[in-house]
Parts: sequence; C-alpha cells; structure tokens
Amino acid sequence: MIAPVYGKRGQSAVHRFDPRGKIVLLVVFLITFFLPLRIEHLGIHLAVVAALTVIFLGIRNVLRPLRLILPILILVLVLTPPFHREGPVLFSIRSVPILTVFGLLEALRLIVRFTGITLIFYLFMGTTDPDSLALAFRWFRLPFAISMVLSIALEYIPTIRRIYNQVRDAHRLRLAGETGEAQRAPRAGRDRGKVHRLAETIPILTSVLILSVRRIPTLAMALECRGVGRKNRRSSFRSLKTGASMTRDGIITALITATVVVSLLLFP
Amino acid sequence: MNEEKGRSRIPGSPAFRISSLAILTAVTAVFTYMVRIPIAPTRGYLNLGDVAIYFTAFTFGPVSALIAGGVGTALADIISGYSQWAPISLLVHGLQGLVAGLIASIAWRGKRGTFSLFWLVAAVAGTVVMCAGYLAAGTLMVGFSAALVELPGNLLQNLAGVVGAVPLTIAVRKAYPPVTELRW
Amino acid sequence: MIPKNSDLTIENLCFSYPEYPGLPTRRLFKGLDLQIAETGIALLLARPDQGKTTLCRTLGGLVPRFSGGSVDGRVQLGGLQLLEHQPFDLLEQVGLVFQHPGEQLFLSRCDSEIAFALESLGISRSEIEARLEDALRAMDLERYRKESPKNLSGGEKKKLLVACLIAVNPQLWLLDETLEELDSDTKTGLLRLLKERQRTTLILSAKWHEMFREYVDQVFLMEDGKIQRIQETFGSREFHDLLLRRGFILPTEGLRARGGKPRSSSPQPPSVQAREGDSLLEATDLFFEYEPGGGREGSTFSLQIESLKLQAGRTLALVGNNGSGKSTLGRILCGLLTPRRGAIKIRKNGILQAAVGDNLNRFTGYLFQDPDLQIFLPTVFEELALGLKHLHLEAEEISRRVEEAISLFNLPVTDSPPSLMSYGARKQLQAGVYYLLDRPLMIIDEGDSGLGVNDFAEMVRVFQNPGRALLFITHDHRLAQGLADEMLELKNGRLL
Repeated sequence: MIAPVYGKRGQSAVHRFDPRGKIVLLVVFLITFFLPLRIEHLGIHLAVVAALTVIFLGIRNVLRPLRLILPILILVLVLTPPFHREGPVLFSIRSVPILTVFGLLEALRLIVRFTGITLIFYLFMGTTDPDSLALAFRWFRLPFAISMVLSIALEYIPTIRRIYNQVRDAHRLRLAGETGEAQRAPRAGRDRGKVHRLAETIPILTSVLILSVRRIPTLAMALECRGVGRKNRRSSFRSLKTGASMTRDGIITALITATVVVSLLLFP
Repeated sequence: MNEEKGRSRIPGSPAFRISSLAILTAVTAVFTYMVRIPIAPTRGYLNLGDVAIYFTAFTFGPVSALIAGGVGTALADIISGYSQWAPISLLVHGLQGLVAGLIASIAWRGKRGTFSLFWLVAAVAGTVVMCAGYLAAGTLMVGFSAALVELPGNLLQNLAGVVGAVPLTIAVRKAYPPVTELRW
Repeated sequence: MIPKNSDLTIENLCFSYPEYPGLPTRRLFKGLDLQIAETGIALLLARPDQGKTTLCRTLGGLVPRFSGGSVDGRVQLGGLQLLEHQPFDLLEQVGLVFQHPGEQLFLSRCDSEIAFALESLGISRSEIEARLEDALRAMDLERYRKESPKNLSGGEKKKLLVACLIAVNPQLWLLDETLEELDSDTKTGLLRLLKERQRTTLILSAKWHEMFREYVDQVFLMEDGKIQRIQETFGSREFHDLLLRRGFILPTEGLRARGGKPRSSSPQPPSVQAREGDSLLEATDLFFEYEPGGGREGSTFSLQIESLKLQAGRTLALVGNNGSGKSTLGRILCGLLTPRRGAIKIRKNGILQAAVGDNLNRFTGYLFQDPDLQIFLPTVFEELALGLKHLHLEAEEISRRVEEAISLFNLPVTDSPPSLMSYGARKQLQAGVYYLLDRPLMIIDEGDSGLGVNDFAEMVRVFQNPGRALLFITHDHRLAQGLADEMLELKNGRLL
C-alpha cells in the first residue's frame, strides 16, 4: 500500500537520480511556486513539472493526484474571485461586480501554485524509495535516532494496521450475538447503528493501544541487543553513491537551480 | 513507589526512546489514515488522528506528542496520496501535540484512571493551535477563503479527538497500568 | 573484557516480578543453577510461562532493565559477569533470538537487518559484506537479500534472525523456542549448523523432539523456579517416561479420557435444537481466494472445500502447515471472510438455513491465537461478565456464571488487570469469555501454543458438549489425533 507512492522498482533517470539532489530541487521548485510571479511564469513551471511527471511516472499517475485535488481546485475557483473584485469587470449582476479579471487571475494563480506543489511532491515521492531517502537525510546530518524513528515507524505502520484489523474482527465476533435484537426493526437501527459504532470503537481502540504500547519495551530490547546505545561510532553499511554519478547529479542539480534563478531574475 | 513519581523505571536509553517514538508515530499514522469519515470536499475527512495525538499527549508527554503527532500525520498524508500537505501536517500537528502535552503534564498523576481537567485545557489549546495552523497554512496553499471552508471540519475533528481521547486514556490506564511507566 | 573461555555458569539466579497493587509478589526464579561447558549445546525444557523467555533476557542484560522486578545471583561467561553489563555492551558475548521473530525485526531489508548489529560494532564495510555473505549462505537466504523481512514466512524470519547471530558470532547463543514451528528439514539443518559453529548454545523449548538426541549434549528441566539436570541417558526408557510425566512428550493415548473436570453444564442455546450427531454447520463448494494485493504478497493461494460438516457433540481437528489455509477456513466459518462461491448453512430452530456474515458471527465463537486482541477491561470479572450483560440476567446469576468460568479455567480471583496475567492465563481468560458466550460452534486457533499440552487438553474437554461442535486448529498432528474425533488435513487450500 505504500508501494504505489514510493517508486521502489522504477528504473528511469529520475528514479535513479541522487536523492540529495532531488531534495534540493524539491525545495527550489517549492520556493518558486510561492513567489509572486506573473501567472505565465508560474504556468511554465507547472508545465515543466507536469511534463516530468508524465514522462517518468506515466499519464495515469499524473491523473491520480489531480483527481484527488480536484475538489479543492473547484472550491478555490469558486470562492476566491468574490473576495478580489478590483480591476476590470468580467461579469456582474445588476451592476454588482461578481467576477473581475483580477479575481480570476488570483484564483488561477492559487490553482497553479497548489497543483504545482502537489505534482512536485508526487513526483518526488514516486521516484524515491524510503531507504535512499533515509540515507539522504543522514547525509544532511539528520541525527541517527531521528532517522531510526522514521524508518521503524514506516515499518511498523503495516503492523499496527494489521493489529487494528484483527482487533476489530475479534471484537466484532465477541460482541455479536445480541440475539433477537438484530432481527428487530433493522431500519430503525440505522441511527442507533452510528452511536453504536462509536461506542464500539472505544473498546477496539483500547485493545489496539494496549497491544501497541506493550511492544515498546520489546522493540527497545530488540534494538539494544543489536547495539543501539553503544558509545562507539557506528559504521555504515549502505551509503549513497559517491564518485562519478554523484558529481554528475550534483552538476545537473546546480544547473537546474541556476536556470530557475536566472529565469526569476529575468522575468520578475 | 515508582508509579507515584510518574517516572519510568526504564532508564532513558536511546533505544527506549526510539522505540517509543516509532511505535507511537506508527499508531498516529494508522489512526489518521485508516479510520476516516469523509465530510468536507477539500482534503477533509474526519479522522481519528487527533484522538491518537491527544492520547499520546496525555499519556506520554509533550516530546512524544510532538514527534508522534507531527511525523505520524505527515506519514499518513504521504501514504494517502496527499504528500503536499505532509510538511504542513508535520508542523501543525507537531505543535498541537507539543502544546497539548505541555499543558497536560502540568497535572501529571500516575494513579490508575485518574482524569484531570488539565486534559481538557490541553485539548482546547491543541485545537486552537491546529485550527489556526491549518488556516494559516491553508491560506498559503489555497487562499484564505478555501482554507476557511476547512475550519468547521477541523473543529469537529478536534472535538472528536477529545471526546475519544479522554475515555480512551482512562480505559488504557485501567486495563494496562504499566503504561504510566513508559512515559519519559 | 576478554574472557578466557565460553563456559557458562549460572549460580543461584533469582528473579521476582515487579510489584503491583493487588498482585502478590511473584518469584519466577528461586535460585537457578546451570552449567554449560564451552561449545556445548544444551537444551532447556520448560512448560509455557515457566520463564524461558525471562531467562534468555536476563542473560542478555535485558531483564530487569526493561521489565522491572529484581534479579539476584551470578551469571558468568568465561570470566565475565553478565549481570553487570548493559545489553548493548554484550553484543559479542551473548546473542539472542526472540520467541516471536516479528518483534525482533525492524528494518526494511534483510541485508540491513543482518548488517545492523555489525554497524553498531563499528565494523568496516568490507568486513560487514563478507560476514553478510557468509550468514546468508549458511542459512540459505541469499535470494531474500534485498527483500523486506515482512515478506518472509515465520520460519524464514527465524532463519533470518539466526543469520544475524551468525554474522556477529557471539560466544553464547540463546535460542528461545526457535525450533518450534519449523519444518523438520529446517530444524535438522539448524541443529547441524549449531554443532558446526562450535558456540556455547542454549536451546529453549516446550516440547521434546527426537532429533535433539543427536545434537544436544545435555538436557535440563526448568520448573517452579528451579533447574534440574536430567541424568537419565537419552533414548532410555527412564528418560522417555520422565519427559512424558512432565508433559514434554505427548502421550499416545489417554488424552481424551473423560473425567477430571466436570463437563460444562451450560444449557444448549435455545435457537439451536440439535441432537448429538446432527449437523450444526454444513459448507458446500466453498471457494475463496485473496484479492490481488491482499493476503500474502504475490501469492496465488486459493481455498477450495467441497464439503465440510460440523456435527454437534463432535470434536474436529484441522491440521496443516503454515500457509495451508487453516486460519482462512476458520475465518470463513465464523463469517469474517466471505467465500467467493459456495454455501454455508447453519442450524437454526431445528433446521439448516443459509447463513452469511452476521449470522455466522453470532453462531460461532473463535479463539484467536493472540488472546490480547479482545482484552480491554480492568478486571477479569468485567471481561467475563461483558457478554452476559445483554442477556438481561439478574446480577446474582451473572456472578454465578462468572464464578463457574473462573473455576473451570483456573483464573485468578484478584482485582488486578488481565493484561498483567501470564500469557497462559490470558489464553484461559479468552476461553472463559467464549465459554460464557455459549456459541453452538467453537473454533480454537492454535490454542496449544502458549498452553501446555495438558492445559490445552483440559480446555478442549471443557468446551465439549453434546450440543456443540468443536473445531481446533493446530500444527501438531499427534495432538490432533489424541484429542479429536476426526482429523482433517489442509494442504495448499485443499482438504486431503
């Protein structure tokens, strides 16, 4: 379930691009989208990002995040113009301006920005696997403890999810058997059902939390008996590639950043 | 006895802290993305993430709630395809957890099942932080008006968070008293 | 800190659980003594809840550090006093494989798991690579090198943890029930490897396996907080009888003997009117497969059952290896999973009627392998009484039934929370809860894990009732043959 978001098995140039470079570029593009640029300029950035996503992740994968944010975009389109009614009027009811050029532009700007941010994140997440990401963070001097918390949390999410499903099943089986009550008025039971469901959730969550919390000392034991807490410096078995490909990716990153900066200066 | 002081009998070992944070983060993430009721058309769904954050704040303290809340919700965002909100969740829910945890720890009691009014104060403060945070961040992302639409949903979610977290915290403590010793 | 050799000496080791209000102080170890000469392989037999895991963890420095309570006595490895060191400083001295492998694995790749302890030691990358290769090859796990440990089966996870041990190569190896639930080839392979590696090894187990004879040097028994070394020669009559008496070998007959505890006196549920021998549940042409992406990764597993009849008053055992579909079938029978095709009928008001989902939920009781899935209340009484509340019984009647359950299942009468009871006691509590729910069909999933053989046999006996059909799922063929009226075997989702 995490797999579709993380492009573990992808082999394209972007997939194999150094994650450190990708992090830098992510930040660069993010900043760009937040700057007060002309709409055309923003649009070009968006187009570039969209193109990259289509090329390296496929058209179907572009539609997915777009579909998720469509409701928000519509909301923005509808709600923003009424609050920005300066400028040339495009549409009015009985001489009350409803829609102005300025309002439309503002809405478009927000839409482009949000879509751009969405796609850039999606592209980033879809082409980087968690292990490389963790290594990149370590290279940027993220403390060992924090990166361990991140990696282990990611590993434990499916576990907790499984616990939740099992607990839900177990509670359901145990509490089934209000014999006779289920036969009575199933239709009237619908509202009752919601309150019932809420009341049922607390016991389920209690069991889930107890089971989860019990694992804390056990996991701590597992960590300590494999050496977490030692005073000596840890070595590192896996590391990001150095040498030729790092240099190449570093240069590409610098070039792209430079291009963006130059374009910002030329077309404010 | 150890329980009265509320101090963990487990020494503050790095392994213990890593373990505690990792599991609480995973729990928060699962609560956030698994149990969802769609309400608002934006990114909104009522999720139980706030229940987990407040539970962590009441039971484990401010640092745990900061990290579990921030990282947990961020991971949940990434998993559900909303990774653009992850940095914001990290900040907003992290702060929410931190503030709630700080206030709740003012009246720390190790005894079984004791309810503290400070929990409610903590939850109110957490709600303010979370709603204000999302409003501010939302304005940056989608503009003020669209962000405002989310506000009622966020308030409702926090209400559910408190209503859920209080009985949950009490129930967990009663059914598993050693939980109070896991605090650090 | 370089000890002279790897002799293990445990002297007068004592351990008491931490104190809790309402719980009397429990002493688990009352002065353990044990000696293993270096490179020797010793076997420690102990029934569940006697302290196998606690002993391993004490030797590794994890208890009382993470468990609370108090430890006394001496443990010496070569010249080193183990009890005086923190666990992370004992990496090269003591290696531990947990009973539940899932609890000891936490990374996203198998090679990272094996490398982790070596990284902690600060070993150079090239050295790590060499040891990693050696470990993977020794445990035949090379093809899983880049895989996530989550994709491994239970047995393979245990092999992975042994590989982690091989890579570090500590002086003392502690294997907590590691050989359980492994198939015979893997068991033999592992024992052979232990012998080759020439490390001081302590294997802990709740059951005796014949293959131990060839590889194990000494056998110890741990009971009631004391360790006793078995003097009898392996394979001798006396040895066999001793293990039989203590419950480490299954008796070939006599398990099913009625008598002892009285059979349950609960009345048959009113909606089921069946005589002994009538079918309570009939399943025909069941077909089930997991959705792509659900269940085990990339598996093409499917379950196909032509006909299955569960009759009142009869006990059925379902056996099969891991992955054969036992749990899947169990979950279908209680309505948690819906089959893609096929029909299930249950007996209601005297006749067989079609049933799905909710109806099956109400008809069947399912004892999950993990008893903690449904524990959430602060006292044993409340847990037991929960299901009785909706029956609108008088408080006195509820108390009476709860006390009956407490006595039938040997449950403690204190006010302390169930979550603090031993694992075996929690399993008994789970059984008590379902006993009171009085469902016509009872399924027990791997009930024998965590309960001694005799305790499990007791539990089965208590559930047996002329008006109830009982199905228990297990790995243990002999247990199945000993306790059940009929045994069904599942292989790859098909009944044999």
